[in-house]
Amino acid sequence: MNEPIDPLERLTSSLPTARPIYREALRRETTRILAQRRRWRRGLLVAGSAACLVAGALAALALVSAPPPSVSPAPAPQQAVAPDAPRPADENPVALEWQAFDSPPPRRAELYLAAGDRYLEEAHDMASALRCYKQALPSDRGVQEISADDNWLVMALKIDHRQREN
Amino acid sequence: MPPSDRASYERALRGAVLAGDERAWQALYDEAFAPLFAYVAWRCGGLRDRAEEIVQETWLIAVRRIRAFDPDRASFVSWLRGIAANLLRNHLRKVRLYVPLDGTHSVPADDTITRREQAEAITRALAGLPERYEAVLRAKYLDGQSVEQIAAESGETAKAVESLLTRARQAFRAAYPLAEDSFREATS
Repeated sequence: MNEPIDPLERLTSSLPTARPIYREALRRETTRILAQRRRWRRGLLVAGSAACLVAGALAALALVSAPPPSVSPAPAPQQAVAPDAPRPADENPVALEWQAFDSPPPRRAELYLAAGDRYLEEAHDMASALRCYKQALPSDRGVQEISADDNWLVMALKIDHRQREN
Repeated sequence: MPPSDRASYERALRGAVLAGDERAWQALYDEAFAPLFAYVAWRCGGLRDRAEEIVQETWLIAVRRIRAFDPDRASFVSWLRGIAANLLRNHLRKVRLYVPLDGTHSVPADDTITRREQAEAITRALAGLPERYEAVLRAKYLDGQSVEQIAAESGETAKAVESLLTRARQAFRAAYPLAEDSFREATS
């Protein structure tokens, strides 16, 4: 080191030191920022927890107040119908009666019963219904068995028919 | 404190600060404040107002970005010094005081170089030095380390450090001609 004056040495020897008031003010400011950030994070945590709580409560409320799930009945198996067979529901009772007249058993009995039902329920024509039912009963043995689906007139005819046979 | 112990200690403090522990922050602050202020004052050529401004900005950045501090890479003070050096470069760029070592720097027209102008000259000269030169000059002048201590810390030989120190001084003097002349005139 043979330089007559070294500015760096001169600078180092005359460096200012921090004023205590400045140092403390900066300490307070940085600590305040740290505390503020901590409060902000806690606030976020609390808000997040509250949001989760509210969401859970709403979900539970929705479950409690919701109507029970409706169970849709399984589709009833459709009765196999021959492609050429007429659909009784689509025909008027007179036409059904004529179809029954022209059909062989056991189709004949089904069509007479269907025609009788239509006379009885739609036209309230008891005489025509009775005529059709009487034609159906002797035509087929299975039809003479009393069924829970039989209406009162068919039941009465079957019982009468059975008594007469005995 | 050995580097490994220092890293463990500062890692623990960093974790506590991230958890919001104000005492941990104040421990870091108390230990690093004086070395940081001395460094910034040195880089500012001894100008107190500028040093206070840069130190304040440095701490405000540090407390907001403490997560970025990695104790395994550098000490807390070194991390702060890096922030301060960047701030100082930006500051000098704003006021157009930063002059690289290409001889194109401007000089005050006035023959009377005030103390502030000398400080500005030192600031400019230090800011224009390569990082290795600035580091070895800081270790020698600011930290008061011997060549042997610098060599032990940097893992180089004493001769290499002495050579580096010589080159750093020459570079500084090249960037500081007017101030140097002024000092010579003042003491002749």
